[in-house]
Amino acid sequence: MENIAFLPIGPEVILLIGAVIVLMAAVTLDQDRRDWGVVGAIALLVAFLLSWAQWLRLDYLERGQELAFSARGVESIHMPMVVMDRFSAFAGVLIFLIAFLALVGNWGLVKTLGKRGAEYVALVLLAAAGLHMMVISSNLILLFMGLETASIALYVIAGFARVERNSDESALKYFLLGSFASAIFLYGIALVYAGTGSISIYGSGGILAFFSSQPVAVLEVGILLTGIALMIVGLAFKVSAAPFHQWAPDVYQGAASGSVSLMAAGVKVAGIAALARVLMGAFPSRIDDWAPIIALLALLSIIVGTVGAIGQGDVKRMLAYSGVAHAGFMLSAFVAGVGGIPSIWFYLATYAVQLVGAFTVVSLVSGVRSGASPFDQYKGLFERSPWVAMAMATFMLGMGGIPFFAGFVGKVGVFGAAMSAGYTWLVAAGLIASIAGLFFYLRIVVLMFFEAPVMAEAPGTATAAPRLAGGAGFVIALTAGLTILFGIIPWPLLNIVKNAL
Amino acid sequence: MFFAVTVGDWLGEVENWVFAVLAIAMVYAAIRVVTTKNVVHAALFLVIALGGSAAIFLLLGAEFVAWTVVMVYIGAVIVLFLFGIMITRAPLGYETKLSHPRRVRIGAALASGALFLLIGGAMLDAFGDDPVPAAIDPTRTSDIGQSIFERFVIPFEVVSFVLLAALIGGIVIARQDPTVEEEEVLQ
Repeated sequence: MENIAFLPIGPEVILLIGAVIVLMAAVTLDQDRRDWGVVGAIALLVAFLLSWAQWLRLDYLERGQELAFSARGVESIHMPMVVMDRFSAFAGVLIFLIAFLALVGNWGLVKTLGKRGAEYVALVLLAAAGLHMMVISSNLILLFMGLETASIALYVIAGFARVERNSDESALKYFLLGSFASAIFLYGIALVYAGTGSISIYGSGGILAFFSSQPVAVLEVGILLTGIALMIVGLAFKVSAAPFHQWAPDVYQGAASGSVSLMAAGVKVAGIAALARVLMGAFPSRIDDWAPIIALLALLSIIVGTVGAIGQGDVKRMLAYSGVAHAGFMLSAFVAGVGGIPSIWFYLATYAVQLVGAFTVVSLVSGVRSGASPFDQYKGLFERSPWVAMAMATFMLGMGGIPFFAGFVGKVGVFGAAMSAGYTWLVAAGLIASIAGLFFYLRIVVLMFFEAPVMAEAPGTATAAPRLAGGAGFVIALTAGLTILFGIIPWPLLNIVKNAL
Repeated sequence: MFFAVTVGDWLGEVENWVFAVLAIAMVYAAIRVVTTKNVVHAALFLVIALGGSAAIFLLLGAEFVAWTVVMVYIGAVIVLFLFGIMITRAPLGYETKLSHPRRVRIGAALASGALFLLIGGAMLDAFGDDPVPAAIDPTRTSDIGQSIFERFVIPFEVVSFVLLAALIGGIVIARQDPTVEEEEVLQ
């Protein structure tokens, strides 16, 4: 047996240990002490640093080598199971950063949960570990296990604020549709196994080896393509790409505002990255078969997301539909194959950061536990709280793709990738949708800056200036700063993502 | 092309007779699971369908998997279903409100039929005229244990954390919420 290297699964190990410590500490400590929260945050921070260490380690190991996406991953435990490449290291940096910001920014939610706060923190840690596991796995079984760990944790997180009316419905809807999607994904794995005789992506006897040994004609091409299609359906559900998006608006709106950012941003990062790993890592030779499917999904998502977002009167529902459109933009870079990965990463990183920031603002303005976030609460936000309003405006303009905000560079990247693959119609649709999308992003900005605040008597309507409780101010400032920074000087991040495959 | 073997050959094998009986029973039970209007009956039909799949695993020489299906699915999951029905005081008799409107049912039937044709067609296309190996070596349980604790040790460990997450979730959902007064004190 070869030596076991712990670095590739280091982040997961730390997070799982952290989750157990949090649970134990909550039982043994006094009720009003919340020291376990610090343990959770530290575990996420250490996982973040370990992912960074993976990146540096790979830099050291791969000096001067040019390796294909499929051949990377020098160090691993039992090569067929876990792969450590810059793709997974970058995903780790991103996922753990998002999870950390989502936890710190919504500390107010954990405080209101009282005794159940520790369980919430433990589930966040488990979800983060599962999300990263989806990206590091080089075996479809482990990918599925990661998907399930993250999904189950997130179903519960969606239903955490059970006092609120919509939270139960949100959790149940997410659970039923999500487990259905997981089952379809699993069936896809089974059919891929039937078609290729392997569930491993890399290594000897893996799917890649199968394709390189039979380059001309794969015998069971029908069963293989069915399997790939079912896997795409399962992951498209998780990243809320149309036509598998119906759950997203209801779930985002029903779940407590403080818990949505992990659900929205973290799952999108892991889902898109896992889809890239499956399609470009395992089936690069079948790109002519899956690229049209992905292009169609992208087109549908862009149209449905943009049209759906225009009619919304609730910020969280609007962000959910805009998330469908953003999934479409990212999917449109898939058609370029491995060459599209850097632009996908740039888009994903900047979008996820903006999304975490935007949902943190939502949880400040509408309350960490509330479900609904009607536009009325945002009218005149600038008068009440100028800094929060300006940060929210930054996120909206960034998502809308205005130049000098990070979203613009990302959009240029994904459209360029789709263009280079010859999908001009997709780029045309994307450009039209981007312009149409400005309408609903700018509407929020106009509401915040130019409309008078609504002084509703109804309880729970936030009319006073939102208090910058806990780490929310830090998270909002950091995410807004990054949005502007990468919009004006995107080159450092562009250089990093260029290698992240 | 798919059915190159003649009917006579097919009937000559005992395994085929066993398989045919199992398959008919499973398909009937699977359809009844969805169509019956009584929740308890649905759970019991599921027992037949799962028992059939365990028997097919036995035919294929995968005895450990077969008995795992019996123990975990028939033994635990179905019992859990029945207990769930009992504890939540769901109506035990025939439920008339369960049926969806006609167009929903037709849509669901069309969608599942299309998926069945797709997967079935892909299966036939891939393995339709492959002969079944004359003698199937039984998979030894020790081999399965070996591969679980060597090659698949990481997924095996991850399963335990899936269960931990599910356990925490069950506690969170089942536990009584703090009362309104407690909520106000906390806030």
